[in-house]
Amino acid sequence: MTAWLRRISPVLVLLTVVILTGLSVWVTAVRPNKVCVVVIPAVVCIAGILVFELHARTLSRRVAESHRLLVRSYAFGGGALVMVLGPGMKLAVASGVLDAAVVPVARQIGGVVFGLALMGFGNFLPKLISPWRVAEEPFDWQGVHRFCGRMFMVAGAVVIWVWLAWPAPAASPATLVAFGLAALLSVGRKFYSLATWRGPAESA
Amino acid sequence: MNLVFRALSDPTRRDVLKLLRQRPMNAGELADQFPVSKPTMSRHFAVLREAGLIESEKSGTTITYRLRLSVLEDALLGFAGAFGLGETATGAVTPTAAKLERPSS
Repeated sequence: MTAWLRRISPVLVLLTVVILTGLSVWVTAVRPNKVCVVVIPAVVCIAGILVFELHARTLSRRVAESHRLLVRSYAFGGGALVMVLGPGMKLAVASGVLDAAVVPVARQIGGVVFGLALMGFGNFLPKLISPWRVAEEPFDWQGVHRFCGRMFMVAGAVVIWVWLAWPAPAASPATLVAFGLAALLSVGRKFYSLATWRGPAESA
Repeated sequence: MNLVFRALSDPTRRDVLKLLRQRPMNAGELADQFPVSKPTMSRHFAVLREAGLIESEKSGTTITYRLRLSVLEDALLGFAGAFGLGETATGAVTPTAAKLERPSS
């Protein structure tokens, strides 16, 4: 089992998850059924995340590498989940499986989950191993990731608080602002490092 | 998680992490900062590596260490230092910690 997993590209798995999810949503639309609407997309998502997890663990020759792959697997898995939740929810409401009154609560849960995912991603970001040897690092790679990690942790905490305390119409733009700020600051920190880093030898 | 707590419970290992926060360093550079034998330092490095808090890179005969702390592990390091985990009951500062606090001229 591990041999073929090693040969699968994570992108290919992601595409499979997206295609299968699309198919399950389409099948559900053709034949609306309570089990189909909720269970099939969820199963496809969980299967996708599990495959990524297995893939990451199989590939991990070293503990450090496993962290890098786990971060990637959760990012892809989380992305697939977000892609499924939106259309799944609309379909469930349209087909009468879910009451429209449930949607705000579901969105609130989704927002909190997104915040948690941001925090998890931010926490593990500094754990990523460097693709360069210490002497050849072109900029303060570790410093950048430590900063980005903290930014995403703060953004995640803000997103969770916003979705718990604010109404959905205000929480959605606030989420975008928090995420956008964290991303912008992270990119800015990277460029700042690129411009100012003089190399490990000179910084000693 | 046990490995992380075990690694952070020792003041010398925490001092190693604080030094590595500045920049990656080789084993010799790090060992020079501490008044303990090289085999003892080697054991400290092994504990930190096992906990996934540092990574090593071998180049010829030199081993360079660099930090690999997650945000939460970084916060735990701060807490462990603030509460003096593993330090003497009298609150005495270890020679290493004193050396770290000394401003570099």
